[in-house]
Order: sequence, then C-alpha cells, then structure tokens
Amino acid sequence: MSGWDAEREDDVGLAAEYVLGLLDPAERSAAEDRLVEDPAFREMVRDWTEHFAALAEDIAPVTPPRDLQERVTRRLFPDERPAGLLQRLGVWPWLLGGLAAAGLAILALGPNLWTAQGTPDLTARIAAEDDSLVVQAAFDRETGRLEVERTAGTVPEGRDLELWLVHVDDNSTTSLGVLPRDAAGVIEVRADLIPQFEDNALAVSIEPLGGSPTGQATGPVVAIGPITGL
Amino acid sequence: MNSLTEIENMIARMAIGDRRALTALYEATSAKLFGVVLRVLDDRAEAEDALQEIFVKLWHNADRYRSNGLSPMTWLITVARNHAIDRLRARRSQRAAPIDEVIEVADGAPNPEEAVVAASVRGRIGDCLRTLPPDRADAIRRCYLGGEAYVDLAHRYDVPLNTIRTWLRRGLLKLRECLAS
Repeated sequence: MSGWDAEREDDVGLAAEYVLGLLDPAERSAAEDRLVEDPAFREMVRDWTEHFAALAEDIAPVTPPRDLQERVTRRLFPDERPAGLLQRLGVWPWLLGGLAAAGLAILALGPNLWTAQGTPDLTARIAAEDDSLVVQAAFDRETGRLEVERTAGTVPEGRDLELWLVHVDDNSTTSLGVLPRDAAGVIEVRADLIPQFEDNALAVSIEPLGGSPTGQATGPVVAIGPITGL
Repeated sequence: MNSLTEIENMIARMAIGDRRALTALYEATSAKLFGVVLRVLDDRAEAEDALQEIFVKLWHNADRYRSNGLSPMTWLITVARNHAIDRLRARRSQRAAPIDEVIEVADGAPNPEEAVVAASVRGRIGDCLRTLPPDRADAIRRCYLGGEAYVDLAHRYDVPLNTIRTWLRRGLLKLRECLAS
C-alpha cells in the first residue's frame, strides 16, 4: 500500500515537473511516452496544466499594438492582400463604375474649390452613401497639389480621417495622408503617385490619430468617389 | 469577455480553416495572452514577436485542441506560456528541453464531463499556494512564470543542487493535497 502511494506521489511530482518544464530532455521524453500509455498520468498532467494556467489568469490583460493582428494575418496568409477597401464597402463599388462613366460627380463640385489655382486637371467627390460626409477634391497634376475641402460631416473625436488612392483594377490602396482637421487644406501628393490618379478613386476611412499604423485602412471606410477628368 | 463555449467554438472553427474565427479569437484573447507573455518575457518587442508566433501556432494547432481535454483558456494560456518560456530560456541560452508542445492527452471525443472537471480544478491554486512555506510557493511561481530551472532555484534558495528536487517536490505534493481537498 505504501509502495503504491509512494509511486503515485512520484508520478504527481513528475507530472508537475513536466508541466512546469523542469525535466531534462531524457526525462521529458520518457514522460511523453508515459502520456501516451498511461491514462492516470495523463490525468495528472492535465490537472496540473489547469491549475498552473489559473496562475496566469490573474495577470492583467495588456492590449497589444494595433498592427500586431495584421502581422499575424500577413504571416499566415502572405499571398493575400489585406481585405481591399472595395470589398469592405459592400454595395458601393457600383458607384465607381457608374459615376465615372457618366462623369456626374463634376457637377456636384463646389465652384470655390479651384478658383485660386485655375482649373484643376482631375476632381473627385468623395461621399458617404447618405452624404453625411462629403469631401471635394481637386488635383493639379503638374504640381501634385491635391486640394481637399470637407463640405459635409465632421472628423470624429479622437480619430483622424485618412485619404486613400484606390486602384480600381485590383482594389489596392495607397495612403495619401490624413485629411486636415480644418474643413479645407492641401495634400502634397508623392511624385510617383501622380500618374496613378487617372481613372481610379479616392476613399476616406476613420483611423487612429495620425493615420493607419499599418499602411492599410484599419477602420471603417466612410466615403468613396471616382476621380474624373474635366 | 466571451464565454468559454464561445472561445471553444472559435477554436473549432479555426480548425476547419475559418479565418473569421481567428480574428474573433484574436479580439477576444490577445490582450489576455499578451499580458501573460509580457509578464514572462518582460520585454515589449520580444513579447510582440512571441504573441505573433503564438497566434500562428494556435491557427495551425487548432485541430488538435479538441482531443486534449483542457478547458479552452487553459489551452491558449499554456501554448502562450510555453512559447514564452522557451524564448526566455533561449535568451538566457539555457540548454533545456523545449516545452513548446502542449500535451495531447488524446482520449478520443471531447467529453463534457471532463470539461466540467477541468473547470472545477481551477481557481484554488492561489489559496493553496498560500498554505505552503513562502519560499516553496515563490519557487513554484518562478518555475511557471519565470521559466526557472532546478539550478536557478538551488542558487536562489541556497539549497544544495542534489536536494533541490526533493525540496520542491515536497512543496508540489503539499500543493496537490490542498488542491484535491
């Protein structure tokens, strides 16, 4: 009887050492064999695992940095680009094709947007589906100046609105920067992006202050509009 | 906080390749697991790398969860803790057997009764550790969350290396007795 008890005590200790990671490689491998063959030992290991995990349950949660989830996704699914803006927009993509073809957006532009600069080359009306947010944009290809004016809607408290160039053919996006908190302002467009404006679209998403930390939109896309020539 | 059943569902859906389940699990548990990993590694950049690797691992091993008889949070915490401990030991360049693999106590189909038992064994360890001599309780915590090995404990508690194992085991058995009562 006492022999059995001693053996059992030995196993209880061994199971705990296994879970804590105290065994040397040979002992560990022997314990792993036991796990396969010995249900009682298996149960001891499971119980210790539960008990010790409860020690970790008392540790306060810490929110990991925002881009970490994206890093996990990129690592697991490297061939796929992050969910495109247009995929997240649901029913909106029809707007792009439809409006671009008809060139209707131009009519909605406020006339004061380009008076100072003469006539812009390209324009866009970036709007929410219900027009709760509207940003007018006028682009001068020569200088790379993109004038933006928010004519409806507000910048949410503690957030920024970020402007994206959407490549309609493959849904990829490039950040053009955070929209000014004032109603109107100018965004200087990188030279290599200037040729990419024609026939594509602009979109606005809600991002943390300072803009998306990942280079892709992380918040909801709240407005979109095609870029049209005059 | 999501219920354990919800977490279990997320893991089950991950096992069949549902990426939305991975997103949901990340949202539900990443802060908890990051807290654990950060405690073990005590280095933010390293903890971030570790957490990333842990979620990759959880995705790949989700199909093995159902057979191990552990409650879902225990499984997640154990994967995270073991991974962090292995990293910590690699940093200290200790030669130790990797403990990365979470046991697979394959008993076939999941058993609801077992899950209840698993849940009922939790929660008392803090109380029971307080019934041990303080150095023993401290040593056990250091093993679990600090990755310390017998040689570290012998040094820290000034116990000869050839008796440190008996010293700790006495504590573990007493702990087990309390947990079982």
